Amino acid sequence: MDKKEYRRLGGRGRDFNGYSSIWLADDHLLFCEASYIEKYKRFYFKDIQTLMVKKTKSSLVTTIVALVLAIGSLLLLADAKKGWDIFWGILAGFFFFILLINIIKGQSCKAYIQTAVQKEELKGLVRVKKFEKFLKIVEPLVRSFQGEMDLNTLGIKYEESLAKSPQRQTHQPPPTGQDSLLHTVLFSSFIVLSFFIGVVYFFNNVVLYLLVAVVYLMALVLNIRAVVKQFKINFGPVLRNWAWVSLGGLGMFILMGYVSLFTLSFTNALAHRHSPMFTNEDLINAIPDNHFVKGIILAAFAVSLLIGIVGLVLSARPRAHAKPLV
Amino acid sequence: MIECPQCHSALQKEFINNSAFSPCPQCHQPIQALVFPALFYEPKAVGSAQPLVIDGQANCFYHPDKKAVILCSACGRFLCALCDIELDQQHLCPACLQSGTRKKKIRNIDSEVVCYDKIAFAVAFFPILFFYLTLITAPIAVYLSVRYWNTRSLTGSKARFVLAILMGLAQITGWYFFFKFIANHHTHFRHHG
Repeated sequence: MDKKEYRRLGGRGRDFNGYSSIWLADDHLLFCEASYIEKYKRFYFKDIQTLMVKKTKSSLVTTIVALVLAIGSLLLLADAKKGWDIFWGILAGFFFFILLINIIKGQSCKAYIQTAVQKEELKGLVRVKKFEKFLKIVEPLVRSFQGEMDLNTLGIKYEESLAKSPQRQTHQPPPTGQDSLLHTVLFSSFIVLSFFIGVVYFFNNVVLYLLVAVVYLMALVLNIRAVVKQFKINFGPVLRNWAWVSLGGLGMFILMGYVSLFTLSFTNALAHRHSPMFTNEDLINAIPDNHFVKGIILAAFAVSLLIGIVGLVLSARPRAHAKPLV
Repeated sequence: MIECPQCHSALQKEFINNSAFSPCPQCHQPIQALVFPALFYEPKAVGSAQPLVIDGQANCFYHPDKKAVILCSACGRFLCALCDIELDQQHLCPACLQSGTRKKKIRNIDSEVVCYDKIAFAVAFFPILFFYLTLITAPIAVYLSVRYWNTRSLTGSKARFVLAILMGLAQITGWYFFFKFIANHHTHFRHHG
């Protein structure tokens, strides 16, 4: 593999397997997935049949999450004591920076390349702007290898190929039924959870904390059931992924709970110079004075509200293929 | 036929080379599709080897009863249509293709390359967290960097090799001084009881 033969195109996609990038050679595109081993797939210009792009909502989700976290940090900044104001200020600045970068990068997307024998997602191209730049370079090259064909001829040939195709399946109305009541209840429980967390932020009471714990456990059970149900029924990728996000959110809440517990325990131990073991009442009484823990409660409120609202919107949306998985 | 990447339903011709995004009629996902003439190419028929007609006619090295149509670009053996593998403007026989793949001598056929620069860097860097491991890993990192300095990969860089060598040498130097200190200490105790 000679680096001089290739020029890098587009951005760099990242997932659990490592980085993906796209490289341009004289007669082909090279798709490279790199971790500790680089794996290559070549797409010769003479073989490329289609380049497709679909818009995704990940940029919108990033905008909402960054905005919520930035505003949350600003609220905490307004109420912060000396010392903590720098911390919350830096955090708010960081989230606004992410927001700005996300807006500048523009609409998110997924791009695909198709040849006669394969269809691959171009993981390096995750923004529409990047895809357009990529297209400006690649389209003339593909045309130079395959020749020009006017739109009319393309249309006629495409109609012919559609007619020949055995799996003709267009303009079917979305099937009704198979609505996920379980998902609706799950995301409603997140709204309820956010309500109780919001109440706890203002009123420090043992009973309210117990209520939060009960609603949390209820949401956890519902979430596990929804995820299990998703293995049997296809509710579409967006709702399915959001149920996993919500499960991840609930996992995060456990982590946040532990962090809060240790923070409260050790902060009080240091302040009063005694052992960090406390009764539950001691811990709860210490919450209003601890800005870090209050920040965590506010973050949990924002996250659960966000998961609940987005989840309810997604559950209410008509789904094209809510059908049993074979 | 082109399919919606979301719901896999066939798309109508209105989607072809439309400069704007249009919603899929089935799942309403905004899609843009650019179609090239290759979509309508008929699959090429695979050439079948012709049997020998006249005695003394050049025959295939691998199939003596078949007519040779071309020479292998690497070894010069006569090949029939069945044995001829066209790759990167070269005509190769199966044996040359196999050995070329193994020795990584054929351009544009590599399907994977090990990134030794990343491995060397990881071997030099991560064991720092458990510093006693560096006694073993530091020489390995230096060895990997020197041994695979000329490995060619797309995302690799010499900078990682340099960093791995520097970190490995620093760790080895650290261990050298540590053992020297221990030895001095030991001698000191032996002399002074």
